[in-house]
Amino acid sequence: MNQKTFLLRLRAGLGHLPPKEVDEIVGDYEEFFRDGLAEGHTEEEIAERLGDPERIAKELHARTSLQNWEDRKSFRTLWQVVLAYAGLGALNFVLAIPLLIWLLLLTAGFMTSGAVLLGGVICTILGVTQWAFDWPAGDEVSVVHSHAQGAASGTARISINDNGVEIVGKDAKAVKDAIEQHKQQGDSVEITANKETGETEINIHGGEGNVHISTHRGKKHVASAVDADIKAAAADVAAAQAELDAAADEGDKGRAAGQLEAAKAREQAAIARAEANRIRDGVSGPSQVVTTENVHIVKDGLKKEVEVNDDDEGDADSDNAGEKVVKRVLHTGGDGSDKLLPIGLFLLAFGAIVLLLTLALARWTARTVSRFVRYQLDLLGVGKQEENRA
Amino acid sequence: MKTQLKKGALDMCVLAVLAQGDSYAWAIVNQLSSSMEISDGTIYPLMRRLQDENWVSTYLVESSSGPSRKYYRLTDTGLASLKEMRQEWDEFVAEVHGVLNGIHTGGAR
Repeated sequence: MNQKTFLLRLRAGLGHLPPKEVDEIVGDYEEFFRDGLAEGHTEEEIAERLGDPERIAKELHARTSLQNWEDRKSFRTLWQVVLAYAGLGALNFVLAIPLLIWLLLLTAGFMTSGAVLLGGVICTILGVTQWAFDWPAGDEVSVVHSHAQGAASGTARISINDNGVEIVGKDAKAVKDAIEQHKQQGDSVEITANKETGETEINIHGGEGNVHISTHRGKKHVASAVDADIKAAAADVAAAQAELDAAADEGDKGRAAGQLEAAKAREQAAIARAEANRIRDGVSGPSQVVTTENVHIVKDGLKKEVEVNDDDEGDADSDNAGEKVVKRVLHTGGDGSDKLLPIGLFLLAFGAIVLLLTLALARWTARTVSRFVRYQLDLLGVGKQEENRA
Repeated sequence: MKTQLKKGALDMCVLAVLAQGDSYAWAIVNQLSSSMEISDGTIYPLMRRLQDENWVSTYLVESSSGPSRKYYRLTDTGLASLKEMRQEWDEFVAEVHGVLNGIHTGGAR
């Protein structure tokens, strides 16, 4: 092999390196040939001494990629090291395959964590904007059409009393009109109160799903009705006692005693009446009581317990006898949009953990690989001589 | 065994050659190969590594005939490294000698 062939093959082998670097390396070997020729050696002799130009090129290539890796540690340069080293033929095949798979896994892990982090960022941003600006809109169901949309709107209450279910308040007519509008669009609001069972039901049928609210009569007001009856009976007793005192003045004790017995009987009767009322679940009470205990909302097959607010109790006890206001705006998360923020934060945390894990593993891999490659490269320079002699 | 020993020693030998004075690749290789076997082709990768380690610097010298020639010079850090390597090498050789002589005398008894 003459000088020209040697340098051509060397240059071809260095193809992947920057041209400036290739020129410098080739220049070095040209100089080597010049010095050798000046001392009277032939080109073939010198080429023989230098050895295989492809092998030199590969070694220089591997060294350069290793240097790049040490200058700038990234997945790309690590890949270059492994590929250049594999090209050297020094990497054992049995060792190379698992190493390549391992690197692929690391790369995949890196990309996955990036994607998860990105998803987490998007979800978190959407969750925060939803919380702060109500966008994108969550799922909101208004049980009472307190703010019906359109021209007809206003605030009214749904009242359930002895007359049945009524919509009352200053804007009652407007709200009724609004509900009527909704009915024409296919939506419907049904409110039913069953005196026999004491159950109240509200059914809202809309384009996006149905809401069903059912209640059971609370015991508290039944008890108060009973208390009232007992108080009334006690008053009867007091009245009878008064009659007795009056009669005593007249001396007709026998008649008064009879009246007392009668009054006591009336008290018993009142207790019995109250008991009967209790059995009838307070039907004869002064007010139709609807408590919000055991309220179930059924929407698109999802059953949710709704917490009872304390102020409902206040309403029930209010002097506004004869009616009970049912007014509540329900927020349901049927499509999970209200979970954006927690999902986002979870994704962020998960992505960060995977990313850190991947980076730690990559660092460890890179350290091990570059140490191994460096060691093998250093062996190569002197090892080749041994091979040639063998 | 010999390969690994050489690997550690080759850097030191090149630095030792340069410690005697600035030189160029052909001369370095010839000086080394007069007393030990090395692969001529890898002298340049080796020199590049020494440059990366900042142990060696280069400069070009104009030649009367043809293009300029690249000379290598030992840097201060290179000199310090050489002294350190040399000391370790001497200690190591002394230890090995000690063991080998011990085995020899032990076998003679």
